[in-house]
Amino acid sequence: MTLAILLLHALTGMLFIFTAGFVFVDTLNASADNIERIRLMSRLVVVLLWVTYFIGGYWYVVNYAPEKAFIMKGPWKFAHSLVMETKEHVFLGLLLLGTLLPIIATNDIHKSAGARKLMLWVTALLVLVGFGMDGAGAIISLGAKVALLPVVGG
Amino acid sequence: MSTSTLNAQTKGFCLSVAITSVASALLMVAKETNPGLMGFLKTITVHHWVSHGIFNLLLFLALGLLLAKSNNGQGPAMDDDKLINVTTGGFLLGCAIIAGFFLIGG
Repeated sequence: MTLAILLLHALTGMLFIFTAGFVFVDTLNASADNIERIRLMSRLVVVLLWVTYFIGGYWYVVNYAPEKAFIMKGPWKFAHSLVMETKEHVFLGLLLLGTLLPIIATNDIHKSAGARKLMLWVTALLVLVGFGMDGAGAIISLGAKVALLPVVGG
Repeated sequence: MSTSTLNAQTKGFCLSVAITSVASALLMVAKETNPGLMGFLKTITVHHWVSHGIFNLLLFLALGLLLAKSNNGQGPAMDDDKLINVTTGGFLLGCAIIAGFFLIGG
């Protein structure tokens, strides 16, 4: 069950990145025809981001402690002390940055160059930092894995 | 003179993200270096990270609403490019403080 929660966290996180990328591309081609879709997808980005936060947060608060203990006894201590610590705190800022999207989308993206540029910057950051989060999650998992591997030849 | 084409809510909440990102990073440094503050955050909710998140959310909402109403309801007097620079710069600065702290201290 705990692994299912973790996989769901990764899944919604990837869907969030994909959706933010979709908004980025749609904004590049913003017009009266797709403005409502941009607004709708912006809301979906926020929903996916917050769902990812709550699922990951629940797992982190309830289930992470034993994994952390293994990581800190293993050879990849940095997987927790640097990567997880950075990930969990950067996520809090990412959450707020993502929450901006529907607010930016209330502007006429297709008419305002400033709104379009702001939307592109924010969605680009969401995608890039989102991929960073994804990679960080992989490093944390590997940190636990290498801690649990038997020492070869030992 | 501001030449922004953005509405007041967008300007207010963009600026709020910039400020909250840096404030959040500074709170992280403060709680990691001050056991008393860390202990306090742990007593408010089930986990210091949950308390930290609630602090961020409340600050973000309060600042966003206040800033959106500033300047006679027009939001911060800032042109679009400057607002984009401040928003992305504030967010990235917050990330850099967090990563830098754990890179050096971790």
